[in-house]
Amino acid sequence: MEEQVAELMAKVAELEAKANVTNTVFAEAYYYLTIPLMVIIHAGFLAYEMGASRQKNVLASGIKNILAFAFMVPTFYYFGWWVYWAFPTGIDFSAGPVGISGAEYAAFALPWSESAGPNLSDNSTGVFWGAFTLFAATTASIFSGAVIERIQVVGFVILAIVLGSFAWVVAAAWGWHADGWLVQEWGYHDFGAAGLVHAVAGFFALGVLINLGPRIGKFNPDGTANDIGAHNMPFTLVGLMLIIVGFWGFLMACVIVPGEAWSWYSDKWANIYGTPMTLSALSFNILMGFSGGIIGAWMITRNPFWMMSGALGGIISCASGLDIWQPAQAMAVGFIGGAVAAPAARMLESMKIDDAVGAVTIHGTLGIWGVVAVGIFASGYPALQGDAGTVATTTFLGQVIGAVVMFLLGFVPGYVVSLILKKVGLLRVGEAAEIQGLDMTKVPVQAYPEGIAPSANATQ
Amino acid sequence: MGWPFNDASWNDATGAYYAALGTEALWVAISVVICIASLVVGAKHENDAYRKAGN
Repeated sequence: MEEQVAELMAKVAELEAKANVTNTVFAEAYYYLTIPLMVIIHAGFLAYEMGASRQKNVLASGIKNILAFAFMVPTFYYFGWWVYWAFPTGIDFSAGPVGISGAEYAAFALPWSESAGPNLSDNSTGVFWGAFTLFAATTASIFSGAVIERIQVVGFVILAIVLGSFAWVVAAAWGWHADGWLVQEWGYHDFGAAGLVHAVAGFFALGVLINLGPRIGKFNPDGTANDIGAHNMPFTLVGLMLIIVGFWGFLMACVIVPGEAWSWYSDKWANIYGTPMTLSALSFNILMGFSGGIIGAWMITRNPFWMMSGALGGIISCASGLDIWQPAQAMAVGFIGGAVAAPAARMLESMKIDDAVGAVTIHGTLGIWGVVAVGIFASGYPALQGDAGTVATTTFLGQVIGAVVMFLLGFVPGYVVSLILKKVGLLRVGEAAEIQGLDMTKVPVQAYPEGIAPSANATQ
Repeated sequence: MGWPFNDASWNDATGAYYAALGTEALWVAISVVICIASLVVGAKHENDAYRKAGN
């Protein structure tokens, strides 16, 4: 009898070990696969920016976008990853109440630590780092589109590093990390990063655009604006759709898998704050927000560029609360985002800001709308795990404070660093180069060497 | 640094491994230099191109 019990115990232990391995392999593969899905975002931004450029600048726009991605990876490895774990409680680098933050804890994220490379006992750090690196690269791509056709490449790369490997990471440490002071003190809720990725990147772009100035020919002496059309609208539309495809990977990566030592729960999915959720909730709400955004834009403009931008804007509008919206509510929130996008972009243009792809509006303005919408329609949720009264609650005031912080974390570094680059001559290309076109000036090949004539407004 | 485990096989290998010449800090430093140098060279190339265009 004792032998049989011992045999049974051994069998149970063996099965338990196998189940643990299966869970670990699933968790590692889950985050690993979010990375190529998020690379699709960059394929989309590449197509989007090149399509939105005039024929004379197509490849220069592509180069800029590719380089932003390339420099984001090592710089996020050097210091971006460390910033996320060290900064949640502010600049004193102290540990927060959950105990997974602060300078001491963040030592594992330094590039020479044992966790920052091949490690047979660590199946999670690399895939989490990879997912965060792609979040970082997304912020750079968001900013990239706004400044096409007149920014210097090296100046742009420096700005992209400041945004992707520092500014948004501070925002994530404060408003995404469970130890973040915005979460702990104000119940800030931004599941899908409407504020800490989109608003930060959008308003970073605004800060840069003020110093960069408009493209030559964008505004007339009387202040009216000219339409500088995309040289390839279908390419731009496909690019936007690819960005949306990649968003499924982005949002997947915002979810915490159950059953691992670092998981919030042994038996259910959680958001990054540790409150329970399901992938089903995401499926409902991403699709409903997407749909609402397109319909909202269609009501206002009938323009396919704004309809596809509205689709993206619809998802961004819902992003903060994708884990908690009722699906029809997500559609309504997305509809409002899609409907206000084009008018908001026109308002920005009336202020003499030349945002070539509407990035400030779609990511900045609608990112802020997404954060505030949670405060309006979804206040009252406990922001963290814990008994009622012991953890912060999501409120309208907390979301508004978070929105202001996100605006400042984007706008201030964007404005200040671009002003410095302007002073040292690294921000804007020369006038002759801009008129000639950046492909002829510094790219050794042409996008369309033969057979395709420029459209009427493509050579402005 | 080379092979980090006592036994010259993968059989009982656990934890971090780093089987290359040099140290982690050295390679981090080299890659930082690569990034900075490429930006400097890139800026020079860009300025030359703008000058040729008439700026």
